[in-house]
Amino acid sequence: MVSPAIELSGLTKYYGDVRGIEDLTLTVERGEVFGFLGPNGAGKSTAIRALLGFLRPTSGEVTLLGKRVADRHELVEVKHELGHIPGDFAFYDSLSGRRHLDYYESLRGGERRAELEALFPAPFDRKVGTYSRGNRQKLAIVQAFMHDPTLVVMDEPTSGLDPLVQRTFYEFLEAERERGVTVLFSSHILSEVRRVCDRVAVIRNGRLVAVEDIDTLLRKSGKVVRATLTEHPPIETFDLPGVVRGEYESKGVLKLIVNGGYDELLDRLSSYTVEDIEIREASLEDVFMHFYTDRDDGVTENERSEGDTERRERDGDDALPAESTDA
Amino acid sequence: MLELYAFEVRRRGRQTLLLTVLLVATIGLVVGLYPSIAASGVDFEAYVESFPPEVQNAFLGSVENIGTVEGFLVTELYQFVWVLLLGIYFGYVAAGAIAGEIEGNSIDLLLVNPVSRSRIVVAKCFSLLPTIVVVNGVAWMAVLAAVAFVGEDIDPLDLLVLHALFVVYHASSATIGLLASVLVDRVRVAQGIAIAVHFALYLVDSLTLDTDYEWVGDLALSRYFDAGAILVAGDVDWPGVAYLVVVAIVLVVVSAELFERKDVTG
Repeated sequence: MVSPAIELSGLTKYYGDVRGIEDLTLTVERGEVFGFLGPNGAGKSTAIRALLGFLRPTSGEVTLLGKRVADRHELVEVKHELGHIPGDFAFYDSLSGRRHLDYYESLRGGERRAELEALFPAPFDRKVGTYSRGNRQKLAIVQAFMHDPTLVVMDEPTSGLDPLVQRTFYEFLEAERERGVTVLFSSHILSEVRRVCDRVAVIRNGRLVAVEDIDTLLRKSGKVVRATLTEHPPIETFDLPGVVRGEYESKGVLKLIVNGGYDELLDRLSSYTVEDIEIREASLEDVFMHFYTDRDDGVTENERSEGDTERRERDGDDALPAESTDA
Repeated sequence: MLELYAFEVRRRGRQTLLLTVLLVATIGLVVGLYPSIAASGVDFEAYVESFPPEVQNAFLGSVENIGTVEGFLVTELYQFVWVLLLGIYFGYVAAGAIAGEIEGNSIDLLLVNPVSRSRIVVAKCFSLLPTIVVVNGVAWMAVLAAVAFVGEDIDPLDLLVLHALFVVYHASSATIGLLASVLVDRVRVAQGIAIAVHFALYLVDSLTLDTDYEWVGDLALSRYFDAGAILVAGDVDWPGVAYLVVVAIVLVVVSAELFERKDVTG
């Protein structure tokens, strides 16, 4: 049996008394494109640094491609098959991109270098110090993939890339998945994760809140409907099949998180005087607010996750909502 | 590891060149002064006698006769520039080895390579060796040439031994900086530590020599390096050299192990 690409068990990192991450347990299978999703400061980078062995975990274990990261020799071994784009990184400003790539090639190989240089062109002969953010990021992509790694870990890899290059990158990732490469990357951009990932781990306050199939996450993300009504019907009026949650933001301004059932909702709304209406994609914040925190109010409890989720029950303020009973 | 080493050495190329040029100029200047000073008939013995013993220790070392070209070189060049300044310099440079990568945010792209952290430390440390060797090799030739130019005589073999041993001394000086580099994440702090430690040890060594507190300076690298004895008398303090080698090895091993255990935060 092939060992999983990534296995975290009880991975915990405290900085003194400050919690970085706590008790992360999850498995990423080979060939998956896996997302670490969470707001800034949630602990995504700490998790990535711990799983690459940059940080020594306070407790817990990591294995990459079956190799234990805590073991120095096994870590060096696995790094031959590992690519990485750090979140906040720098090259050596006074050296050219080519010099950097020559260096990395000498350390870990570069059989795909030419192909990647063509796909993500940057002024390789110029000093990296003169590079734009986008060019630096392209250089980072080239170095991460040029030795044809089995597993690639990336911390917010698309930041700084212009939309065109972003698209190239997504398409490239899809092709990599076809080739069987395992990819883990962190993001705080829902649409990105949605486009690329098979599964997503949602991280909040250093804890793993849920591991979801992308379909489940998509179902949960839904739309945000904000309507200003002259009347002030009781909130229960909008207790409809597609409405996940509803509340009055302020006087007369109704905010609903909706997943399908638009017809019924529009019917219901039409019986009131709609002064203003806005319908938009749920942002990551909305998703977090409405699906991955305690809810003590809200209209309905339907449309809860019934997918293949590896939820982790826990106590404390980040506890998940109780399992759905009406699924 | 060789690739890493080669990369680091190449990065030091310009720095090595600059340093060498600077030192050759210094040698030219110092040696160039010798004939006029010797001819002026200054009574060096009396001049030296007027110094407090601590200063004599610091800048004269064990030289008895400053009037000879060997004595002159030791007091005017080696004791101050080679023992103190270059010792500090190599510690200062080594202090940037790891802390520089961390502060400069380039450490992640380095750590992800299939090279252990120990090897990174060792490669970075050894990458200073070519600079040290080149500087001392060129200086040896420059001193020989300059001394010949002013019409004086010096034993080339003793001078070579002196510079060869300076390589050992400078390498062990560098490892002080290396340790600082692993201990703190800020380059300036690491450099400060390296300079302060080296300078403090040098002072303690000079100030305590021939006193009841001589043992306080026993840790100092400079205590085990007597340029005067080597050049004037041709005596090498082999146990002293061994001490320098042991210090260097211990500090590299400790640095490597500390770096292995270090949390590299982004």
